[in-house]
Amino acid sequence: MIKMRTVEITVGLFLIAGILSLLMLSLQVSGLSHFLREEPGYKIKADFANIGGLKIRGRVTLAGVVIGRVSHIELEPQSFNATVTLTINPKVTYLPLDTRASIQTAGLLGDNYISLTPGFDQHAFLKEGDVIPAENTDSAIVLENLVSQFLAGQASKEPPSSGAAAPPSPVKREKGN
Amino acid sequence: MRSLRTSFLVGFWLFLMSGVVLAEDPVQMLDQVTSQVISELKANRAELKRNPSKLYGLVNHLIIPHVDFAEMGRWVVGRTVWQQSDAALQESFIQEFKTLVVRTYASSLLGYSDQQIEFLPMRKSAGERVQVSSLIKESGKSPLHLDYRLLREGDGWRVYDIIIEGVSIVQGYRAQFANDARRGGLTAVIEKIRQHNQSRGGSNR
Repeated sequence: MIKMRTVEITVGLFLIAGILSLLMLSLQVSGLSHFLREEPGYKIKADFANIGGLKIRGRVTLAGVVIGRVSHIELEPQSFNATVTLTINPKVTYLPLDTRASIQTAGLLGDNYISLTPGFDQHAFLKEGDVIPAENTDSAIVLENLVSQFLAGQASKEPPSSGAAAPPSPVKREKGN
Repeated sequence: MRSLRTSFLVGFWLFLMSGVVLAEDPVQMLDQVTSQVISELKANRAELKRNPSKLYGLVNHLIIPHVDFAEMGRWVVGRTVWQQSDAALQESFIQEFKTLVVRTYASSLLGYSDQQIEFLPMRKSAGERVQVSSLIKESGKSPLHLDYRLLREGDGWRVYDIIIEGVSIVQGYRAQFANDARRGGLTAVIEKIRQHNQSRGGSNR
């Protein structure tokens, strides 16, 4: 009898341990644990014309290495741009002032994240409160727009339209870019 | 993607092909330049089509004042590679890069077919850099968004990036040359561009 109970208690404990580790795993993966811990870092802002699917707690990377997180997103009423606040690891103090921020996608259809490309400024570096202006950022690519332009291009080739110039010769148009 | 590229490239090169004096206001400058170029194109299209070296010559002559290839080029290769190279190598790269861009896009000008270019008004910018938005309208298609990024240089502005529907050509070239830059520095990139230029044929620079 007692043996049975011991077994049951042990199983129960294992179950609780399993649920707890699942909980910890989900916290870790979602980044919530980082967020809740309020990682220290200096905050800089970046203006984008379109942030696509970028969310708070999105990654900020330099050369592929995560150096910070997106901590706040808001709209700027004058320019209709989105102002994203990035919290950067305080050890990274060497980002030049003209660093370029681009919104990229992990893989083909993954999450959006911000990738920083260092600029050329030798003397001035990004510090708390600095802003990366819209001229130095690349917004998210809206796939639908590209596809619709492509389809429109295809459609306009079907019947030869009167009066329009012939499409340019294919010779010089290969995969250069 | 051909028509997409045609439209944007037409816009790009229309702007570039001009001998207009640089004005203070970038939007005005781009607008002036574009209208001038459209009329030039309409006048000489047949001849330019027949003689590609003439097209390149025209493009070479008129582009350089308006595009900052140095700025474009160094953003393409990135800080590390750029700063590791001496001035002579950098200059060599800029020349090859210039040729590459000219060769790649010059013929698209011939594809111009009465598209309308509309420049959107821009907030006054006190800074060094500015972004000007334009729309390329063609009947039967939704307008193509074409943005220019310009850098203030002296009294005027020069283009250092073109963005079509959110895709920047600097980013595009950077992705293309990233591996070579990483492996062999600027020398490797120059070599790759040179091979590309030569395989495209034509002796014009």
